[in-house]
Order: sequence, then structure tokens, then C-alpha cells
Amino acid sequence: MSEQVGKQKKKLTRKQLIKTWLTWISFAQMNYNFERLQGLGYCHAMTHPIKALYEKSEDIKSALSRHLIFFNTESTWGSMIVGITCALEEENANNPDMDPSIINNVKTSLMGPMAGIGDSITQGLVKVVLLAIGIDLAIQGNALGPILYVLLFTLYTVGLSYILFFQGYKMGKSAIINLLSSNVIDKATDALKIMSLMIVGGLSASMIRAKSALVFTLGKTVVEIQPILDNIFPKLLSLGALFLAFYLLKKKEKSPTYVLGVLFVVGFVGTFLKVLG
Amino acid sequence: MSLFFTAFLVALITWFVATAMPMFLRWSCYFGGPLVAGLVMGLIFGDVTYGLKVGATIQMAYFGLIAVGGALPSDLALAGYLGTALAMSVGLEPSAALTVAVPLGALGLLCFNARMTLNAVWVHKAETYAKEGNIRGVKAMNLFASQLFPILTYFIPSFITIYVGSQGLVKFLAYVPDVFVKALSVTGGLIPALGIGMLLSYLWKKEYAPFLFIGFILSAYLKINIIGIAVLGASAAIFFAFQKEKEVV
Repeated sequence: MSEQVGKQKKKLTRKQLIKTWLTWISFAQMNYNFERLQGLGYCHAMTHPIKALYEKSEDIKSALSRHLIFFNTESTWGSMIVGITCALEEENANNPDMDPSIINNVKTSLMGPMAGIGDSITQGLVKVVLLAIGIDLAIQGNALGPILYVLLFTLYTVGLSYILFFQGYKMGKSAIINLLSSNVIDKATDALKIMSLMIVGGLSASMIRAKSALVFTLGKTVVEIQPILDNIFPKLLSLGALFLAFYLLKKKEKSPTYVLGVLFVVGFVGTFLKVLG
Repeated sequence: MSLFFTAFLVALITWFVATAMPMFLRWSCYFGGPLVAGLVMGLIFGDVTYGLKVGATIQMAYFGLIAVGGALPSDLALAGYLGTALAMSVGLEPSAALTVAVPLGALGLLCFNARMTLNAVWVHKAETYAKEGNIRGVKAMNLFASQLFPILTYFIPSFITIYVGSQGLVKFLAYVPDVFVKALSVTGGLIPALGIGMLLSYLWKKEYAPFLFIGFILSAYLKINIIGIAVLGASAAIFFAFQKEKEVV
């Protein structure tokens, strides 16, 4: 009885948790490399809970070594895994019967799914919508374009990773299993696809510049093609350029570099033949 | 500003965004590199409007770029910050800036891959510190040692590009025939099709194809800007999310 009272349960303070989260979202990829990817960044973030939870030098050594393994995920959504790991380390420090290898098993099994969700939402949707707004303003010479883009994107990365980190810590390892089994993510991704596709359509009209320079002479009248096209179907050539790129990328499975080459050829040959201008 | 100082500043920014900037900021400043570079380089070169136009034009080509699992199709720090600076230092038209930025972005992959390979050294060093229980040593590897190779692979090439490259490019441009410059500008207009096309193939879902055309018509015929289309798109997205929920129940 007295022994149990003397062995007070170790618990991470809010300050220590915030430090861990902040280190993760700041330095996860400082030493990004092909061998371990975010491995060292992960260990760096975990130094805060390790220092707080372990006193014996043996425990510190094995905990540090543990967190240097290969790790790679999307850092914003992956914050949740760091939160879960904090909860697991806490458990490990209090429970001598726990097998610490569980910690790395959880990390390794969760990094893939979180990267999948994170990459498609952060890079495929959030970035695109915010970039579209930013480019639209910047192309008119408005400095608010890049400023708004950076502010809103950072609000997303900081805000979301904070929420997910603490959710992960609170729920422990059941956290992501809960999230993955509900179809909230699927539904949100689908809905955001609709929004993104509309934006892609709008962008193809406003950002791809393609104009015909063709001119026909019928007797004494000179007929320019572009104004006629503008009357029938404005931006038809822009849409055509988009479908050419899309066709090569998706249906022919060509690399972006190949498509870039094709666009260069079209641009140069088109200009020399006075078809495009 | 002297050319030496400008080159130094541009190289410093390129390196910082590429590898040293805190990750939560790097999400926006790296993937939106050219857009942000437009403002930053505009301030450095003293012409913000010009900078913004150059940056935004370059950004369009990289619009749909997605990096998965540490693999990148092009380096956005070089294409963005160095590309915008180089285009501005020789006074290129915004529409022709892409032809400078795209090759730099491709070359940038060399810088990226070099440091991704070399930086593995520091994990091994950190492993030695971990075995000694040296927390401070592990931290130092991640925070400071990690930046040694990026300075070699990002800072130095960027500095040389601006300090030497811009003068060479000016001389070179004087000999280029007009039709060539015109062709560059036409190609620059077409390149956004690649970025948007990459994004489209990522998002593509047959059932949702009509929304692509709705977005196109809203812009081409009705001249609604992107913010307007984004709000309409969000409304449609929310509407369909609830519609689907009803079907499930």
C-alpha cells in the first residue's frame, strides 16, 4: 500500500504536450532523408515526453533509440500519431508490464493511412483552393494574394494539427481506428472533390492562355478566327489544352515531363506556323 | 542593392524555405513557393506588382503538383524563389518567366536528392547519441547538423545562379530572335494546362465531371472570379454531402 502511494502516477503536463506538438509541426522534416525520412524529427519531438517521463538512464536510452526508426506521414494529420505516442509512452512509464514494442507497431501501422488522408486533403484540396484564390489576386498585382494564402494555409496546418494531436493523446491508440472506421473522411473527401472540380474548371478558363492567330482572306475581306471562336465558345482552346494534358497524363499515363515537352512543341510549332499567337 | 547582396539574400531565402523553415509554415511557403516568392522578390527587387505577376504565372505550372512519400516531381524552392528572382533580375515578361523557372525546378531535384541522400549520415550520428542517452546531441543533429548539406546543395547553387547567371542571361537574351520570344510567351500560356491537368487526373471521378464544366462556364461565359466559384463549389459540395447522407439512412 505505502509503496503504491510513493510511486505516484507519471503524467505529462499540458505544457510538455504543447512543446511536443510544436516541435513536431516545426521540425518534423528538418533532417528529411531517404533512409529514415521523418525518423529523426519524430525522435526530436519525443525528447520532451521522454525527459518528463523517464529518470533511469537505461529507459532514456531505449526510448530515444526506439523513436529513431523509419517514419513518414503527412505532418499535419500525422500530429495525431504523435499525440497517441505520448499517451502510450505515459502508459509505458507507469506500467512495467507493458511491452514497449507496441509503441512502434502503432506508429508504423498508422503512418500510412494518415499520410493517405493527409496528402489528399492537404495537398489535393486545401492547397488547391487557397492557391487558386491567391493566384487570382496576385495575377492582378494584388499583394493580398500570397498574404491570404499563407495566413489561411498556416491557420489550417496549425489549427488542425493542434486539435488532432490532443485528440490523439486523449483517446490513445483507439483514436485513429475510430476515425478510420467512421465514413466521415470519405464523405468529406467526396464533397471536397465537387468543389475542387468546379475550381479546376474555372481555372482552366481563367489561367490557360491559348489564342488562335489564324487569318483567312476571302476575296477582299479578312477573316480572323479568334473573334469568331470567342462568339461561339469562349476559351475553347484553353479547354482543349487542358484536355490534351489530361488525356496524356490519365489515359496515356505519360509523365509530367513528357507533357511539358508536348506543350513546348505545340507552343513553338503553333507560333512558327502562325496558328497560335 | 548590389548584385552580390541580392544574390546572397535570394540564396538565403531559397535555402531557408527549402529545408529550414518550420514545417507548419513550409506547407504554404514551399508548395506555394512561386506565389509567395512573387511578393518576397517583389519587395527585394523593388517592384511588387511585377513580382506578383511573375510569381503567380510560374505558380500556375506547379498548381497540381503533389508530393507523396518524399518524392517530388520538381523542386518548388528553386522554381519559385530562384526562378522568380532570376526572371526579375533580367526583366523577363511574366508570361516568359516560366521558361526560366521550369528548368530550374527540374535541376532543383538534384539539390533535393543530394541532401535527401547525404542527410542520412546525421541519423546514424543521432543513433550513437541515443545509445549514450544524450538528448541534447539528438536534438542538435535534427536542428543544426541537418542544415550543413542543404547549405551546400541549395544556398551555393542559388547564389551562383543569380550572381553569375543573370548577367549571362541578359547577354544571351539580346541575341534571341523575336519570334522565339513570342513562342516562349505562347508556350508559357499553355503550361498551366499541365498543372491543372495533373490536378484534374488526381481529382477525376466520372460522376462529378459535370462540375468541371459548370466551373468552366462560370468563368468563361459569366466571368465569375475564383472566390465566387469557390463559394458556389462549397455550396454544391455541402448540398451533395447532405444529399448522400439521406441516401445512406
